[in-house]
Formats: sequence, structure tokens, C-alpha cells
Amino acid sequence: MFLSSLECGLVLLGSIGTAVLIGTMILQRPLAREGQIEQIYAPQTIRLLNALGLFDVFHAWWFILLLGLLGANITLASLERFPHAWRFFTRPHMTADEWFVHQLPFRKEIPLGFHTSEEALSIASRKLSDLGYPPKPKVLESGTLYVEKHRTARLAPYVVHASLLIIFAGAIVDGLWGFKGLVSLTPGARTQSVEPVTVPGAPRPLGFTLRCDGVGMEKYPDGSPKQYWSQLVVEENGREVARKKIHVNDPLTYKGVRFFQASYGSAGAPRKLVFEASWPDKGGNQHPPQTFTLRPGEPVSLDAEGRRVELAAFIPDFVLEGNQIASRSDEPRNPAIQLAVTLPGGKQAPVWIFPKAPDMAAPNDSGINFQLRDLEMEYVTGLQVAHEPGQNLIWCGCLLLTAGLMMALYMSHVRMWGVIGHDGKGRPALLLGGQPSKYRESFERRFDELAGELETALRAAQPEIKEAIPA
Amino acid sequence: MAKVLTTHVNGHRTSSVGTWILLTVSVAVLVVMAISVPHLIGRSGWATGEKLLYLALLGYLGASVLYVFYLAVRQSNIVAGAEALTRGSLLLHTAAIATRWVTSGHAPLSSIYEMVLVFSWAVVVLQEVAEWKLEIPFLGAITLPIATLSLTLLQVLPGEIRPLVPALQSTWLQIHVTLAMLSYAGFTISFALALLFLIKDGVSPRTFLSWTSGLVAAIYGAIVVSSVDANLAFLLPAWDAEAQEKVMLAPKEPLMVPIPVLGWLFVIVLGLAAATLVVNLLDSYGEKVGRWENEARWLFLASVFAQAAAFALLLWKVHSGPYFVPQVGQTYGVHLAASPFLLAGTVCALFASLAWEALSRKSDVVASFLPQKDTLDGLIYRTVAISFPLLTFMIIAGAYWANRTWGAYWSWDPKEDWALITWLTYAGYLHMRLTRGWRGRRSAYFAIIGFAIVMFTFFGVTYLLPGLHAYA
Repeated sequence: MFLSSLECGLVLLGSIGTAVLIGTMILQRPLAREGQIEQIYAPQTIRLLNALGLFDVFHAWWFILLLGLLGANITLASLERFPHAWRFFTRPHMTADEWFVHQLPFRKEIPLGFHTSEEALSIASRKLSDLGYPPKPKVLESGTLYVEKHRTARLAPYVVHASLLIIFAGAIVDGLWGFKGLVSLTPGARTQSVEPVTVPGAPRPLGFTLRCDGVGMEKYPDGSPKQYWSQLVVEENGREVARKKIHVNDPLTYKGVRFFQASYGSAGAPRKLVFEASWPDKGGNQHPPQTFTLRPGEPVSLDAEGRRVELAAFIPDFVLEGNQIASRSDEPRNPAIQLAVTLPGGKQAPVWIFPKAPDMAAPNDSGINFQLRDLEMEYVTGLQVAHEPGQNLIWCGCLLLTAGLMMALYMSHVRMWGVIGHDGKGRPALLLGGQPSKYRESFERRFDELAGELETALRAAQPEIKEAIPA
Repeated sequence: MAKVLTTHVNGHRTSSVGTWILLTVSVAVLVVMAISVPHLIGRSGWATGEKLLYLALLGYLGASVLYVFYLAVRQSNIVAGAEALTRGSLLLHTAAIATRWVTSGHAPLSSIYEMVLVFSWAVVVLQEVAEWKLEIPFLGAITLPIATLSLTLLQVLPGEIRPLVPALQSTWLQIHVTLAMLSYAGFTISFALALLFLIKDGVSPRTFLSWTSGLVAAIYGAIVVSSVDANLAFLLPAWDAEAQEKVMLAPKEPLMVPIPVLGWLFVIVLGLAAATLVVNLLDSYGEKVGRWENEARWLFLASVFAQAAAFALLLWKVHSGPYFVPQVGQTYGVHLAASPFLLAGTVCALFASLAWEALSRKSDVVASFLPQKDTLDGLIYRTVAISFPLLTFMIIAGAYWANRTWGAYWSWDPKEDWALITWLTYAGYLHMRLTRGWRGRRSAYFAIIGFAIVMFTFFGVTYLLPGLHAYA
């Protein structure tokens, strides 16, 4: 099976790497501004790259196919090799004989001296236990010292690969059932749906109502932004069910849908305007200046004679382009305010006010002098909305990947066997052999240390025996 | 070979006075450079801690030079001096980081300046650990030039302390960046070990010359393609000294200032490096190996002098602005902060070239100090085995942070893509190593290629492929 081979896996790793590389070298449509691609590339190039699907590599069918093949490769390779590893894990080879020990990569012959086989085995067994390598008692009964450590290391590659599959599964769940959206709210506004971002289409219903109670930002002393916040409320059937003041990095979660503070800015419209107005009354005397607050859509009556004012138009950053009125931005840098003034007798008089550039205003026919005293803009919060049903799967996969990598890279399955046999000169000896699954150099050092300790233990125990015999 | 050995032995016997004169001259040159470079790059002032950093830079540079001198003089007190100088500079470097941390009130992990600061620190710390724990001498000869290059870059990168923007106020971000810097530093050590392995393995100076001249030709080729116009004038972005940023004509379209004469030198370096590469390849694969050896060496030496001249002229020309820009009919100044890549590229090429000049006749000497091939080979694997999980956790922490900030754990933005490419590369390496038993040169070349990818992820993506990681 080619699909389950390591070669296939490496070819897939290489292909995915190349595809990702191409995806970073060619401007991708999801990351590009409107018209940016047309600006950078020639029309023929655009046609060619479009045909090859290289403007959106990461959502192209062949890229998904490559990822799918990698998933299949990992699955098949693991399934093919796992039974062997599992057998190794559940039924390890524990008993050994002289021939077996001779085949092991690391060996030591430790002379028994005056000990019998049983004595030597029990001394060695006790010493190994003291050193933190307890031999398996059952195997000891059949005459083999068997010591092992970190048998789970044998399963590490499968843990790593399974965790990758879990992460893939989470990504698939999110791709199929998740969604991403955007919504902009001014204080007091409600919404029941959000604009989808990844796939164009109709607004997506939330299944509940989101209300914004306030937005704002905090600044550092130097004026740069420190934090943005929005006070959000979730309503269901007209009742408030959740409430949270969200910040950047701290979203609101309700029924698996998360709302993130993404942007904040002026909505381009005023929340309230404070004016000071003065006008001559019937007798020609100047009426004392009157301060009033104007809100969009709420006419204000100035006096009993029937003078009324209403906001007709507001341009935050006024500029004339040819003879067209336009706004350069949503910030109130050069506001232009048009008031609809009703005079006594019902006569209408439009008034233009330019607080930053009074010379630009057209003649005021209303007879009322307006001075802007205060302007408060409406601010809007931009919320990023995400529903990712697969994300817990992904974080589980990540945790497992962490554990698996540590096991795979740092844990070595270490095994040692000891049997009573004969050394090169035919004298009885404890034959010790060992095998690590990795890190041979450090195992070799440890193995030599242990063998040295055993040798000392067997030699040191001899005087006691000698004394014990006469007694 | 015999000839090289004799000259080497004779040189050793007769040159001890000459070497000391050379050493004195070099120290003098270093001191003059140390005093004049801040003026040349148009440094306007020193923020707290920046003087310490500049001293650390000089220390690292001095230690790098001492390592090279050790090859000529071979007195062990020179290595001891280099090590002491490294440690002293590391202390200064640490103090500079601490000062910045205290002044700004947050961990220095939030801009490319701070990341280079921490990365170079991690490289030197890991090198110290490796030299002490693993008893690998001479590692500093490769890592210190990298630290020197990083600190040189810091002299021109915009380093003013800015308050943290809202998205960066997250513990997960700090974990993410710390892990990134540690794993990058780890891969740097594996790269240094791989180079030592190749020296120990007896890779010929000829092969190293191909790689070095190829690297120089690639760097200067990229510079010539991007910065030299049809009239061979050198184009640098116009610098607005008050706003401390480039003068932009449109988004992503800076106003370019043509500087005459300078372009010529860069083209000459490119020509010399390319010629060295061609002659050296002819020499390596021709009928008679070694026939063109002297020609290749002379061409390369000429390219080193041309590089030094180009670098000096670049510094001088940048300093002696402003220049007239016919396009807009005004004069504009230029600043190296606008093109950190240019500085990094030229210094990197110069270091690589000088390293070859210094080591080419001494590789057997270096090899004799080094541990066994198997030990080095095992260490390359072990550093990768430590750095790879760090890289993995870095990607996971980044995904977790992005998910808390934007509600998207993976956005296919160029920095993420390149982190993935790095991850795939080293995953491939580990598979080959663990299941196919790759050892030796293949493994070492893999570590070098992996390091190149890491460096592209670190710097290339930041400057060439902007995306979501706009902060870094």
C-alpha cells in the first residue's frame, strides 16, 4: 500500500509545504483589499492564476484533497503498524536465555564469585530495586532478571498521529457546521442576525437577540488606544438572559456563539448637538440666548411663537469634490450641519453651520444665530462573531499532541535482561544485556553504571557469605 | 594539501609578531568603528539601556574576532578572553533587556525590535549552556556573529517604547512569543552545530566557498534587483525624520530616493560573487580539480573588499543626504531604519565571507578541537528534539491567543503559513531521523536548510509578506 508508506507521507508533507509556500507568495483573495489583485497582477496572469485556483490556495479543492490524503496516510500507516506495537505493549518478551542476551546491543558479564545462581539473582534483584529498576517478580521466578521502563514510549508515535487526526476532525467540524460573522452595533441597537464573512450570503440568524448598551475606549496618557469595550446583553423572548462587558481578548459566549470586540469607531453620525441660539423677537429686541440640545430625529421647539429646529443633515468631514458634497471620513474633523428651521407662520428656512470653517456657510435666512457648543458623536462597535463547534476537539488534540511529542522525543523504552550463564572463559556469570528504543549514548552510560553497581554488590556480599558459612 | 600545510606551518612560525600587529590594528579599527558608526547611521540619541546594548554589540563583535584570531595564534588565553568577553557582554545585554522591561512596564515581547533583542539573548544564553554542559568549544564562533548581526540590526530598527495595543495585552501572547524566541534560538544552535559537524566531517573549503559565494551572490542579487534602477542609481526609501517613518506616495508605495554611484558597487559585488561561484564550480567539477583554485580565491577576496567598500559607502551615503528626487522635485533624506533588510543582508554577507576567509585554511585546525562526529551528530538531533516541541507549543499558544482575540485559531496568514512550513520541514527531518536512520551530512544539511526557513519565518515574512502579524 503506497498510501500508508512513509514515503507517501513525506511526499504529502512536501506538497503541502509547497502549496502553503505558494499561498504566501501570491496575494490571496481573502487577505487582499478590493481591487488590489487587479492592481498588482497583469490580466493574463490573473486569468492563469484564477484557472489554477492559486488566488485562494487554502480553500481550493486540491489543497483540501492534499490535507485529506495526509489524514488518510496517517490513519492507514497507524492502523498498519499499530497492532504490532500494541502486541509489543501488551505482551512484551520478558524471559530470556543466554543466546537471547548475546544478541542484545549492550552486554556485560558479571562474575558470580562464590555465589550460587539463586543468591546472585536475589542480590542483583535487590540492588536493582534499590537503584530504581525493580525487576518483574514473576519473571524472576523463572530465572530471568527483567527490568523495563517507559513502555508507553512505544505508543508515543500513535498518540502524536492520533492527536493530529483529532485536530483535523475539529477543523472539519468547524468547516461544516461553524460560521464566522460580523456585526456593527451602536448603543441601544439590537440584532438577531450577523453578516457572514467567509462565504457570501444572506445574514445568518442567531436564534436570539443581541443588544448593545454602550461602547467605549480607554486611552493611554499619550492618546494611543489602551482598551476597547462593549456592553452586550443577550435577550431571549424579550427577557435578558446574559450580560457582559467585553474587551479585546475577552469575548462573550452564549450558546456556543462568541462575540469578540473587533473594531471601534465613529459611526459618522452625531448622538447629540448642543447649540446656543439667539434671535430678535417681535419688538426687534434681542431674545436672550437660549441653549438647547438637538438629537437626530427629535425636533426642538425654541419659543412659543412657533420657532422649531430639526437636524436635516450632518456631514462629519466636509469636502467639496467638484460640486458634490462628500465626507472624507467618519471622524468629525470638519463637520457641516444642516438645520431645518421652521419660523413663525410655518415658513421653512434651511441653515448651514460650519463650526470649523464659518466662512463656508451660505447666508442664514432664518434670522436665528446658531453657535455649536458641544458635539457628541455616535460610536459604533464592530463585533466579530464565531461559532466553532469543533474547537474543543482541536484543543484536546493540541493537549494530546503536546503529551505525545514529549513521550515520542524524550521517553525511551528501556529494557534489560539478566540470566545466569557463563562468561568467555566458561566461568559462571550473570549475563546482563540491555536495549533502549532511543538515545543509545545515554543508555550506554546508565547501563555501564548499573552493571558496575551490580558487580560491586556481588563482590561486596562475598565476605558476609564466607563469614556465614563457618557459623 | 601538502602545500597548504607547509604554508600554514611556516606562517605559524614567522607570523607571531605580525599577528599581534594585526590584532592591535583590528582593535584600533574596532574602536574607531565603535565611535563613528552611531554618527554614520544618524543616531539621534540614546534611550535608557541602549548604550548598554551598544556595548554588548561591541563585546560580541570583539569576541567573534578573538575566536578567529585564536586560529592564527592558538594561545588558549585568547579563547578564555573570548569567553569572558561573551559573558560580560551577555550581562550587559541582560541589563539592557531588564532596563527596557522596567521602563516600559511590560515584557519586551511586543515588537520586532524587542523580539530580535530577546532572540539574540536566547542564542547567546543557549550557546553558553551548550559550551558548559556539553563541552562543545568554538560554538561561539558561529553564534556570536549571529548575535552581533542581530544587535547591529537593533541599532537601526525603530526601538522606541510604545504602550501595548489592546490585542497584545494577553498572557498567551507572551507565552507564544517566548516559545517562538526559544525555539528559534534552539534551531540556531542546531545550525551552528551542523556547521561544526560539516567542518569536522572534512567538507572541503572548496564546497564551503561555493555555498558562501552563492549566499553572497543571492543576497546582492536580491538587493540589486530590488534597489538598483536602470541608471545604476541606488534606491532608498525617503525618510521623514520628524515622523520617524518612510514617506509614502500611496499605501505600500514609498517614495524612493535615487543615490548615484552606490548602485555600481553593489553590481560589482554581485558580479565578483557570481564569478567566484562559477569559477569555483568549474574548479570543483571540472576535469582537474584544484586547477582554478587560486583564481576562485582571488575573485572571492576581491568581492570581500568590494563588499566592505559597498558597506562603508552605503553608511556614508546614507549619512550625507539629503538627495534630490526628480520625481517630486524636492530633496529628501534617507535612513537605514527604512530598510533593515539591506543592512542585515550586507552585514550577513560580509560575516559569511570573512568567516570563510578565516576558516578556509584552518578547517583542519578547527576540526581537531571539535568533539567526535557522532557526538556532534547526536547533538544536532537533540537540539532539534528540544526546539521542535517548543515550535509546536508556540504554534498552539498562538492559535489559542488568536482564538481568544479574533475568534479564529487559524487564518492562513503568511506568518502562520511559514510557521507551518517550518513545522513540516522539521517533522520531515524527525521522521527521516527516527524511522529511516538519517545520520551525518544529510542530517546536517537538513538542519542548515531548516534554519534558513526559520530565519525567513522570523524576518522575511515580517518585511516581505505583511499580514495579521502586523505588530511583529
